[in-house]
Amino acid sequence: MSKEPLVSVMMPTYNNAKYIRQAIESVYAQNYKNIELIVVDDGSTDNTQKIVKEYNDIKYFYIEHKGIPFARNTALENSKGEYIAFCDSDDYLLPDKLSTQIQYFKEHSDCQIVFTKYENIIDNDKIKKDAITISEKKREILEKRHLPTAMVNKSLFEKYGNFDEDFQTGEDTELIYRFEKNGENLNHFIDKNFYMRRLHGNNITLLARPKYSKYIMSILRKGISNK
Amino acid sequence: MYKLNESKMFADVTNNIAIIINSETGIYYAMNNCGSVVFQAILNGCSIQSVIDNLKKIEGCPADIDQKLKAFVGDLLQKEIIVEDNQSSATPKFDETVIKQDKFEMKVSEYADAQEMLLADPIHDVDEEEGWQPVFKEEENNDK
Repeated sequence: MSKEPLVSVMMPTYNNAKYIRQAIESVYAQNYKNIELIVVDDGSTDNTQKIVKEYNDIKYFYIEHKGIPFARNTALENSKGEYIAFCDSDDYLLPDKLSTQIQYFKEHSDCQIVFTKYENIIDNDKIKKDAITISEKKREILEKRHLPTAMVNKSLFEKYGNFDEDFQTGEDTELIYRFEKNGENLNHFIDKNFYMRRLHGNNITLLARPKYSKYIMSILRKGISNK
Repeated sequence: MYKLNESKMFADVTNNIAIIINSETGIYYAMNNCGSVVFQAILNGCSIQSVIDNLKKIEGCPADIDQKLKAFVGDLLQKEIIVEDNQSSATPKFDETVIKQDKFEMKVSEYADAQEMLLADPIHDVDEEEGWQPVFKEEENNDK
C-alpha cells in the first residue's frame, strides 16, 4: 500500500491569539494524519507566538510584518506537501476535511483543485448587520470557489506562480482568477461544509481602496485587450 | 443629466477605454472608444442634448445619432451604471478621431468572468481592531 500524500496546511496569522489555538487544534484533529502545519506569523505583537510554540510539530516562521500575501507565500515556499490546504488563524476545519479532499483527488484523476462548502461564524456583536447581509449575498456567488476551503495540487503554484503580493487583501481570489484564466477546471466541489469561517470587522468595500481598485482595473484592462 | 451610480459602480476611463465594475454583482463592463468618450462626457455633467449637438458637429455624423445616443444611455441606465442627476451642465469636448474610428457607434460589453476577484470579501479579511491591513492602510494614506 502506497503512503498517503503529504498535505501542507498553511496558516498565516497576525495578532490572532484569540482564535489561533482553535485553528491549530482543528488541524491536528483531522483524521487524515500525513500533514505538516505551517504557521507564518506576520509580525504579531500579541500572544500568538507563545501559543504556537506550545505545539512542537508546527513549522513556525516569524517574519517582519508585510501583509497576508507575503505570509501566504512564505508558507508556500516552506511547504513540502504534494497538496496545499488552508486554515486561516481565525477559522477552523471540521475533522473530515482533509481526508475527504484527498479521497476526492484519488477518485478524480483530472482534479487539480477541489473546493468545499463553508459556514460563517458570527460571534462578534460589533459586526454590522448590513455587512452580514452583503456577505451572505456575495456568498451565493462565491460559495463554490472560496480558496480557504480548497485543497490544491502544489504543481498549480509552480505553473502559475504564488500569491500576488500587490494584493494586500483579495489575494486569494486573484489567485483563483489566475487559475481560471489559464484554463484550470475550478468546478471540482464537495457539497458539504468542512470549513468554519469567522466573520468580523467592517464592511469596507475593497474597490473603494485606491491601490486595490487601480490594480483591479489594470488586470481587467489587460484581460479585455486579449478578448 | 446623469452621473455614475456611485452606490455600486466603480468606473475608470483611461486611454479612451471605460471600465465599470458593479461591486455588488462582480459583473464588469467595458466600452469601445466612442462609447468611452461619450460616457466620460456624461460623467463630466454634460447633458444628453449637448452631447448630441457636439457629435453632430463632427463630419460624418449619422442622421440617427439621437437614437444611437439615447439607446446607449438607455443601456447604461438599464445596467444601473448611471443614474439621473441635477448637477450643472458642462460642455463636451470630443476627440473627433476616436469618434470617427468607431463610426459613431457606442458599445458597452458585459463580462462576468472575474466575479470571484471583484467580490473578494473584505469582512473576513479586514478587522477593525486586529486587522491584517496596516501595510495597506499606510499605502492608502500615502494616496491622500
